[in-house]
Amino acid sequence: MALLEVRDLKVYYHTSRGVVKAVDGVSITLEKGEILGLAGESGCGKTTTAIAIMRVLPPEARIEGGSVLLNGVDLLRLSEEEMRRVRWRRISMIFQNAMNALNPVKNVGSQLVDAMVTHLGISEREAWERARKLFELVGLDPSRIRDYPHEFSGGMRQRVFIAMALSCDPEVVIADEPTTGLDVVVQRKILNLLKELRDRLGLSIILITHDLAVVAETCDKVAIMYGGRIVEYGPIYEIFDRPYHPYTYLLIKSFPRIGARRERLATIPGSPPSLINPPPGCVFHPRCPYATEVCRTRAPALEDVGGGRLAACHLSSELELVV
Amino acid sequence: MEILRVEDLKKWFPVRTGIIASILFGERQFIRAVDGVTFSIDEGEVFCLVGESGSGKTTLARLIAKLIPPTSGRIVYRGIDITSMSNKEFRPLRREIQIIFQNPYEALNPRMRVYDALMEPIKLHRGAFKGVDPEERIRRAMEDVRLSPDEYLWKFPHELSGGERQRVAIARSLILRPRFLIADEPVSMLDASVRSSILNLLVDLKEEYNLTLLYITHDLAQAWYLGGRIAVMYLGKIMEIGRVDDVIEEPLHPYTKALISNIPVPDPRRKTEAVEIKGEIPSPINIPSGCRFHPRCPYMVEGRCNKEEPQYRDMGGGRLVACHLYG
Repeated sequence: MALLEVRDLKVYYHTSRGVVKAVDGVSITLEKGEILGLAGESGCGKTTTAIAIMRVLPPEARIEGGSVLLNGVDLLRLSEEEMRRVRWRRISMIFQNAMNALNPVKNVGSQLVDAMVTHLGISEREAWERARKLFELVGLDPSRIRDYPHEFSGGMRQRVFIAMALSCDPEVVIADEPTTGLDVVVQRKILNLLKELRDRLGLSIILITHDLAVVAETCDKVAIMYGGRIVEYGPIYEIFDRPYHPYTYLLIKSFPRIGARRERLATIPGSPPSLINPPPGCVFHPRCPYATEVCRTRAPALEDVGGGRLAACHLSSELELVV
Repeated sequence: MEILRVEDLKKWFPVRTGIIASILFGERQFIRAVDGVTFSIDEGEVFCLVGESGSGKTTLARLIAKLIPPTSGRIVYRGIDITSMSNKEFRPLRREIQIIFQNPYEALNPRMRVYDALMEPIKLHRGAFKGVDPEERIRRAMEDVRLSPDEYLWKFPHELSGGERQRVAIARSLILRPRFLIADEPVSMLDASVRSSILNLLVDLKEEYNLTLLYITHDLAQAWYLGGRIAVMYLGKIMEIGRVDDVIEEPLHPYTKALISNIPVPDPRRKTEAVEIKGEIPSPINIPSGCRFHPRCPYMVEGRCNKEEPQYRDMGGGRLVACHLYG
């Protein structure tokens, strides 16, 4: 049994302009000790998927179907009270706009301690002890534990958030664009830290990113999202060598690769689909250079294509998409 | 032939401090955003300025476009010193030097249709459009950026995607037939698939119009893709200049080495060994003494690197590097 299994998840936003089908049948599997990339362009539904797993959706969003199984238990069926015992202790999240997640007038240590006292029910003394150990674990100097959030640089603040996410010993951490806005040197250090935590603690991580280079650098597997669905899933080496979905292929080819042959970058014509009125058939068909009649009428299912890989494309067995 | 030369250019922004602080600490503090930059660009060249946030690259672009005045130094465009030209004197050259910005959402007036946005520069530079049919020039500019005039000219910015807006912004700068185009992170707010189409467009337009392109980015992969020459900036100064292929293949400055080895590559089979450097870019208010990179540098030599500012060494092949490791 997989540690975390999301099955056919649907999350719709009910807005004045209509129903936005932000997540429309997403299935992903996360094994223990694995880093899974959830990758796609803006508006593809990756963050909505994450906050649906955590059950911290805004009021206008509704879960319309599917299940989120953590060790076989469906989190979507838990009461709010039961879910509160899952959040932080079983699954925690590092948010994208993380500055808001810290109280600016309270030192970082007390915030860590508060979280642990509340969620773990341990004494304050014990919590301070743990907080210092967490600081060491994420590569921060424990002597700075009583510093305030603004006294940390961007990269160090990100480490604080990671410490925060780890404070209650979760099995799964969801990191939403944890390195966006950091320069490459610091980015690399944060990504290495995530890998190290995976190795040392056996942590399982979902890494949400728009950057395929970050996926290639960090993840074991990747799920590529487009228009509220997973279009391709599998181990990164195979996917970067020979994707089955044309969207994955074009996305990979649209990134310049330093040191490779300087060939013209691939582009994807048109714009992302409307999620209020998604196109019929395959959501990608209006922009797909390979689309045929069946693509325009019938939505492809996410199917097993062998080698632990899944793809949602009618043409996956015909196309030869070699990167 | 040289089209632009920048000599020891500086831009220091005063830090606003209270009266009490200024009495207590005496001297005024400055953000030394651009702190003595020298380079030249040849006509028809692609020149990339690469640096992290806080390196001063955007300030440098704005200085060259004459959007802000420098604190000191010289900017020479086609042999003419434009540093202290008044707006009126600069006007005929304004047309030749155009700039496109990072945020395509802010570049266009939300109440102006694409047609009117493109008509604006024509009205501003009427003298330059004698005998030119403005309508035709507008349509041509739209075709240049691969947007169908019939479909797009009457749209408002909110009806356009980010990529389309950036195309309109490019069209608006092209309408004046510039010789020198400054692009300040033009794709960093766009999604990957759109980003590549704008990069390709810039490459094509550069060829079609024999433009000189000053491209500013934090992303070395983009600089590599555009080819040409590259200058690596750190805390307001250029650390290394050279042909992009040479610099990426064999970086000389320790900072360039760190930068290149740390870039994630979209290819899992190419795992690079990262050169470790300490800490993060310091504040441009307190620039370290000597070599400004010394507190983070793994090769720092006490007594030299922290005392003496390194001069540029000519390493041949147009390669310059500011580091004591090279003599």
